[in-house]
Amino acid sequence: MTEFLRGFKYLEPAVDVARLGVFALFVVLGLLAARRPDSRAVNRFILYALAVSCAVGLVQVESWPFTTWALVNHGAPQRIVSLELEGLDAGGRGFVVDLRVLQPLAPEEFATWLKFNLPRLTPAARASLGRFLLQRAEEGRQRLVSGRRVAPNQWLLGPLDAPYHFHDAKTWTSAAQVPPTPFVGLRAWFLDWDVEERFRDPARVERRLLFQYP
Amino acid sequence: MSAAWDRFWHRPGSPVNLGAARVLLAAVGLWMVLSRPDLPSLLAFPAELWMNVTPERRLRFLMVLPLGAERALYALLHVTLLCALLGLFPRVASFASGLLLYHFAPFETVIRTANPYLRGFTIPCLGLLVMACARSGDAVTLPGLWRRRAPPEAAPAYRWPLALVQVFFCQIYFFAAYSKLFTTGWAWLEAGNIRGHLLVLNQALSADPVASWGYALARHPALCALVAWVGIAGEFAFPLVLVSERARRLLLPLAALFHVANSLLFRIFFQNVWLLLLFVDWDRRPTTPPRPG
Repeated sequence: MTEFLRGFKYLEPAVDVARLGVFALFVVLGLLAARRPDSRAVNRFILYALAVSCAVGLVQVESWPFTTWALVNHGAPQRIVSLELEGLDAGGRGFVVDLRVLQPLAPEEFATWLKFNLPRLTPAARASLGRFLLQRAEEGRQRLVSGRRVAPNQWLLGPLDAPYHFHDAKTWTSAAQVPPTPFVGLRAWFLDWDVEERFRDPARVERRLLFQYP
Repeated sequence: MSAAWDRFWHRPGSPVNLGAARVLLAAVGLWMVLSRPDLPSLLAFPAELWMNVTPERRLRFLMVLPLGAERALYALLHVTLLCALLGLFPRVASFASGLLLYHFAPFETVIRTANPYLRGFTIPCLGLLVMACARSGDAVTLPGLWRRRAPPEAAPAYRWPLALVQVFFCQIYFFAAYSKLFTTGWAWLEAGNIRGHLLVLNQALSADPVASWGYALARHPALCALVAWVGIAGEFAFPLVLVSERARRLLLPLAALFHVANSLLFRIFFQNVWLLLLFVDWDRRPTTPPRPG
């Protein structure tokens, strides 16, 4: 059923508008229940909320804020790919960049986006992306060396902020991990490994260069 | 059937518990937006990142305003959440908060997916809209506290909104378990699969996976299988808290423990863990009718 529904990919734009309708009807029925709080209006609102949320859960096709709640529901993969950004100083030395500099974009969102969209990017688009990533890396470096918080999300609440669903690897813990002079270039890599091989030998990781800027 | 329906949804409920639910939902929502202080800035990210976001998807979440207007609306969201939390114009504030959360939550993921669940906004969004449609401002408000006004008596109008939010919350666990069997089948429960997930998540998310708790557990197949079976049984059983006081006493602490274990072993954080408090009876007045179960 789910695969059947997902097969209509070309209908996705229209389905997006329909999903707005699903949410709008939830709001309207709620307002009607608020205006006439007799059990009939309330029951209609409850029934609609139950029907939509259960239908979405059972067929596992989202209509957010009614959602599938699918979590780590696939079989574990044998190989995985992870993003690494490397800032380059004027001497050409590379330093691993803490991916929290991308916030409020979560690193896993950006890595997944890159995985599927990089082949479609023109050279100009890659340069635009590279410029943005370099700027973010440099701003993060400056925050680290000046003793401020690396993660933009922690600007207000500090370590009491709500983490992302998947914990970030907090790569930068000391100013010694970055150069004292600005980053002037950036490389993006995919790290690729076999899960069991890396379990036996932590060094078994392959690096694949995606692009370099400038 | 009808009697069971009425008994579940329309029995007298406590205004204090409903007010507490409003406070919890607004507090979690506020914590989330304070933890994403410049979420609208994603609009200023390079256009390439937005290339898969169709006009229809923008329309779905009403992402049609320029950055300055979005920042103003995001500031307004902080104000409405604070008002909902304190009980200042609680229903209007809850309504505005719910709509604005619907608008802003997808910013986090929309370049990849239009389904921003597990980012901490979903239950506050739905829950605050339910609070807006109910008498959620009759108790646990700052003005009420200031005037030392006693909360009203229990009534059905205070029961169904809280029950509906609790059902939404239980669906998290139930459908998390269901989706594992729906997608992967019984193979999901095999020790090797749990071991694989432990290794993948710790290798991808830990600075030092070798020293992680996940690696330590992955070395014991029997424990991996136990984690799978206990986890999925607990998730399927969680909705029992809706109907049984005894189940609440057992499953609520277990759920909290489950989230701590998930964080340590699988590196997965559940931002809505505080909403387990939705099931606590905050109204200790002797006039409150006893709960069945």
